[in-house]
Parts: sequence; structure tokens; C-alpha cells
Amino acid sequence: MEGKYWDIVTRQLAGKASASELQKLEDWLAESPEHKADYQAQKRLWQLTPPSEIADTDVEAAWKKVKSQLVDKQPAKVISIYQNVWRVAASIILLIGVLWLAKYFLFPHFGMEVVESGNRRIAVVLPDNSQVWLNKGSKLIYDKDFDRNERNVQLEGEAFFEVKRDVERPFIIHSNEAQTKVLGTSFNLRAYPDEPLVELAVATGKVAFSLKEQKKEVIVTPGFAVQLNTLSNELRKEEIPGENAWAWKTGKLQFANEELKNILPVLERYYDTEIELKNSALGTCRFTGTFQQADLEEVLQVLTATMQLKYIEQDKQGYSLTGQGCK
Amino acid sequence: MPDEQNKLKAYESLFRSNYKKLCSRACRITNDMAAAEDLVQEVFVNFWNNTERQFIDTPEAYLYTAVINKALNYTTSQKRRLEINAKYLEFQPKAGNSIEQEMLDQELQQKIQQSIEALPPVCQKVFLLSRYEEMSHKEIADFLNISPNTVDNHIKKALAILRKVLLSVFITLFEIYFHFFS
Repeated sequence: MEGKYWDIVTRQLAGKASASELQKLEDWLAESPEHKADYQAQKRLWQLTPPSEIADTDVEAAWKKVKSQLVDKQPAKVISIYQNVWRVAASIILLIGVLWLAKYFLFPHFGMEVVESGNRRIAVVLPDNSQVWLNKGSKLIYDKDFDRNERNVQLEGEAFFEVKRDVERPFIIHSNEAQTKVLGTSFNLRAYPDEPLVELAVATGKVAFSLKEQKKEVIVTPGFAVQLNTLSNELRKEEIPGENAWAWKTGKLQFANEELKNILPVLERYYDTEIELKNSALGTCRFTGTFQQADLEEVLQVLTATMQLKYIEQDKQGYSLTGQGCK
Repeated sequence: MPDEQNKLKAYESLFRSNYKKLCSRACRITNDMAAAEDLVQEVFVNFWNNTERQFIDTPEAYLYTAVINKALNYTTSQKRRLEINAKYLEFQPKAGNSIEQEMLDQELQQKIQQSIEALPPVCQKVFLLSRYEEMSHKEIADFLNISPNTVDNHIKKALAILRKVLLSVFITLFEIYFHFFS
């Protein structure tokens, strides 16, 4: 079927054909039965595809719907949008500020690894494979990824360190008022925030101990301990025999011909108690012996039996020792 | 701003004078008044929100083209026409026709609708524009931005397919011929 006649039939069926178009169509139809068949096919097709009946429309409702979706382009609105931008920006800045302050005050160790021993003694392996034994009530804070140049940790409480040797990266422990710098050693550091003394006792290697924000360093070697009085900023170095300073970790108390006055502070610390001498002459009594995971009562019994003393439990505060004194 | 107010007034009167007309044009193609209304509203909203709107000289022509295009896309992309038709095609005898004749017509209508539905999208668009917009080959070519030859090919294709449907119910056709020429 020729396109021209399809169009004319379309117009004819719509009742829009002109007289000349109708004449043309008639001539064309007379030409051949095929044309007639084409015409009938199109006509039939038109009849079988009537346009659907048009339902009534609610123009008012449609207008309301459309109007509500129109974007207002008045310049006044544009300004208010900018005002909002400023408000939003100000709010965001304020929010960031508040979050930063909150982070600073509430989570000062954000992004850091914080290990708290609570009521137990625990062992921690640091990223550089150094080992740390934390005593009760202690806290160790460190960055999961150690710095490239320094291995920084922060300690509150008491810990025994076994630091992996790395000459390139010194291992630095920050504790209240004191800084302990090592390359690779083992030592005990006691720095409870509620105690005025910070004490470092070295087991192996060399440890540099210094006051915070001071250049002055004290080098501590095995068999020595250094005490920092954080109230007076006094540093005191003393010789310590044996390994009793980190007995909390080993469970072993060892005394070699030690005077009682030196033994008692070790016991007091280890058992967290107080032991008093009724007679100061007792202080010079000497004792040799080793205790392994012993109870306080057991230790006191051994001491009193060896030195012919008596111990009295004084309510819950502690104990007192009485006796004649030693020759 | 008074200028903007005037623009809105002009837009509202454009809407009011064209909405109904455009809906019925769209509905002829979509065969679904709700869909037609939706798409006409969409065209109006887009027209206002389009920043280029002030540069459109003949909004009516623009709206018409947009509406018909949307309606065509809706119809050729949706396979809903058939079910809607089934709903509309409930038996409704018309005066002057025998019941048998009506039933046959209904059946044929359904078959034809199915065949139109099955046409390739462009072919279907060409047919819809020819049938419901009464566009000539040239107009369809311009509207769809294709050559008149392509339009002709599509119409031939559509007619051939639809003719097959008509022939497949030859007896019906014969009866109709008989009915028309008697």
C-alpha cells in the first residue's frame, strides 16, 4: 500500500479528507481489487482499534497537584537558601567542634589500644612483639601501629616490660611525670597515678629514666632501681638485690641474708598490707629464704619461727611483729 | 515579585485551557485515563521547572509534543495495555448489531490489541501516531525524527502483521464483508 493513500484513508476515516482527496481515493480504489483490499484492511483495523472513551477530568484537582510541585524561582527565596547554607555550614562547624571536644574529653585515647588489667594480672604482646605484664589496676595505652621512629606507650600502674631490641626505634614509656626510654631490656615500672612515687627496677639491659620535659636522664642498670618522688621531683637511685621488685609477676620472693627492715616493705607491697615492728631493734634481724606463691600467713610463720618473733594481726589494717631482737 | 506572579498567572491559564485536551489526546494512546493525567501533569511541572521555559515561543506545541512522546513511551514500554483493554472489553452490545456480531468484534478487537502490543516499539509508535493522532507519513517522520521511508516500512510491517490477524479469522472477516456490502 502506498503511503500517500494510507494517509488519505486515515483522513477519510477521521472525516477530515477534502473533496479532492476523496476523488483521488475513489480513483485509486477503482484501479485494482488489491487497492480495495488494502482499503478494507485499514478501515477494519480502524474499526477494531477505537480510541478509548474519555473519562471526565478534574482540572481543579490536577491544577492543585501541579502547583504544589512547581519550584519557586523568586530571588528572595534564593537569598534564603544562601542563608540556610550559612546556617548549615555554621551548624556543621559547631558540630565538628563539639565532637572534637567530646572526643578530647571523653575519649582521649581515641584510635589507641587501651588495655586495662582491672582486678587481674595480664600479659600483653605489643605490635613489635615486646611483652608487657600488667599488674592489677593498671592501664596500658598504645597506638596499634607504632610510629616509624619511636615506640610510644603510656602506662598507669605497674608493669614489667620485656622490650624487643630495636636500636632504630627507641621504646618510650610515658607515665606520670616520668619518661622511660629503652632500646631493648626488661624492667619493672611502677607508676600508679595515686602514688607519689614512680619506681623503675631494671632486670636486664640499660634503661634511661628521665623526668617529663627534662633533658636530664638517669641511666639505670640491672640490680638498680630509681625512684622518682613526683611531689618533690626528687630522683633517688638505689641498689636492689634480687628480683623482688617484680615479684607480683613471678610470684617469687627471695631474700639473701636481708635485714628485716628491708624485707618488710617488699612484703607490704607484695601482699598490699602493713607490717609494723613493735621494737625497732628487730629491723636488723637477717633472713635468707625463698617463697614461691606463698600466703602472707605462711611467710609470717616462717619469719617468726626463724627469728623467734611473734606476729599479731591488727584488725584489717595489717600485722605487727614483736620479739626480743636478734644477736 | 510581580513579574513572577504574572508568569504564574499565564502558566495557570495555559494549564487550564490545555489540560483536558492534552489528557484526552494522551488517553487515546495510553488507553488509560489515570496514566494520561499523570503524564500530562508531569509534562506541565517539568515545563515550569525547566529554566529554558521562557525561551519556548509556542508552549502549546511544546506541551503537545512532550505529552504525545511521553504517552508513546509509556505505552510502548508498558505491557499494561492488554489488561486494561480486557477490562474495557466487557461485553457491551450496541444497538443495531446482532449479539453474535458484537461478540466477534470483541474477540477481534482483543486479538488486534494483542498484536499491536507485540509490535516492536518504533513500529508501534508509528501505528499509534497514525491511528490516534491521524498523522501523515511526513508528520510521523518529523515527530519521531526518522525518515519518511522508515515510516512507510513500519506501516507496511504493522499492516502486514495485523492483516495476518485479520485473515486468521477469515470467516469473521467474510461475515463482516458480507455485513458491509449487503
